[in-house]
Amino acid sequence: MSPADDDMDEMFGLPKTGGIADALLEGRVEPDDAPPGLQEVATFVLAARSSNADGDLAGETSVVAAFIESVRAPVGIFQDTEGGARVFSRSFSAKVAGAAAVLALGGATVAAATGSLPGSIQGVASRNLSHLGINVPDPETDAGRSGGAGSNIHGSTVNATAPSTTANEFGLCTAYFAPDSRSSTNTNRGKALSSTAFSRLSAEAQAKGETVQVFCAAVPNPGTTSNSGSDNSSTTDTGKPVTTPAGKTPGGPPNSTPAGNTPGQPPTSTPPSGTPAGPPTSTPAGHTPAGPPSSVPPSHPGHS
Amino acid sequence: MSQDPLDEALDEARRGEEQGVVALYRAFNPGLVRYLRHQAPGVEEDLASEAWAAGAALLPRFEGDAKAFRALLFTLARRRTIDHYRRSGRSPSVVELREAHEPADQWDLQAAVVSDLSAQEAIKALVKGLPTTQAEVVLLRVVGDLSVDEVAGILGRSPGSVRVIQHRALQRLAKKFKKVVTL
Repeated sequence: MSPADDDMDEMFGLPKTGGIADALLEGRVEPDDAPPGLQEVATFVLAARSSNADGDLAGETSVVAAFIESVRAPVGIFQDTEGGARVFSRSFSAKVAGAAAVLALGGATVAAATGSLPGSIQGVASRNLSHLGINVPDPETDAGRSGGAGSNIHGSTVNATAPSTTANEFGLCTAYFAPDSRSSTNTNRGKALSSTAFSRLSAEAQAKGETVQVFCAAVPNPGTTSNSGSDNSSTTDTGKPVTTPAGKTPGGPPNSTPAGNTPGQPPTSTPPSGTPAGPPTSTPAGHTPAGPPSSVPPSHPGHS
Repeated sequence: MSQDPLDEALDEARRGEEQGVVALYRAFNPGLVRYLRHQAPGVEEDLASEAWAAGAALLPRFEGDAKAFRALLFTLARRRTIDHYRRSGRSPSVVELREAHEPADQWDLQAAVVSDLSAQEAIKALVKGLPTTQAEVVLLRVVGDLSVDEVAGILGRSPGSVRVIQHRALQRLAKKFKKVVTL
């Protein structure tokens, strides 16, 4: 504040605390009590604050009716122009992200449960999922274990609905002969067939003196039989292994995860695809989590 | 401890009870319209209605008291005013700054001694000649009955800044009326 302002303060008796100024503007000063030079201001302030409504209440009926209607029937999300859309957007995004995370976890879990992830990833998945109470095969710890592919699945959570050894073999066979979605030919499997699971499948076939094709042809489709603990008995995938052309050479890429083609795998960790957030239009604004009222005017938090 | 009548009215309004809404409207709308009549003459009632409608839409999520709701209404009204000028391609500041350089006239002095001075005439006399920001602070403080903190929130300024602005406005007003007296 300039020296001239200070002179004005003294001239008009305005303390720097603003006490008089506040009292004046808030209509608490009668013109006769106002500092010299501000009597007129006090007069105008009192008149401006007059309770005489004049015509200032015109339209009361319509405004009140609209107000009541709006309060009784909360405005929908997309009609709320004061930030409701942002609230919805955050909420919806969170739901979608959550659902995606669950789906991703579920898919990875199924893939890991079959032991069909590449060796190093399978090991990491096994150790991480074990923290969640889900036991899946670990190529490092299972290296010395005997038994077929089915014995790789152990533990409580997954094992509760784990398919039989036959089901696992059938799943592996299905994945083994499934065409690579990235390749136009079935012969270009890259490194997929060199994964731990497929190597084990190949080893089992060789142990029986059979090719993988012959070995898999002998594996019954668990989906056509009564498989305990699994309601995933769809037969839609049943024909794949036997109809897949033979003559494939092992040594494919590790990234063709066969989880989705594995019949009989536990569906418990994979939510139904239709589960995520319902249609956004069905969620009224009033039902969405909202911030404190002070946040309603975004750039003006001070309402106290 | 009894609740403020306007706080009770706000609670009733939240429940969609007419008497509460009417009480709030009669308490807050006159000041709102007077503010808007100065800021956007000719469309003040439309803008006030829009502010009430927006306030109603926000009420289910609003947890403040009646005083805070009044501040909310003025915030909404101010936004609607800005939108109005944006739509019309005009700037309120240009108009008001031009008026700010006009000297106070004799009518102001005469009006000051008229006992039946209307509220709107008093507002005009009070803020005429003030720069835009000073006029708005005075309007919000006087006809909006808003505190320094509330005005600061509405204008996006600090309370200290608002105090300085209102102080300068009073100094200017004192000069203005003194000048008129000495004419």
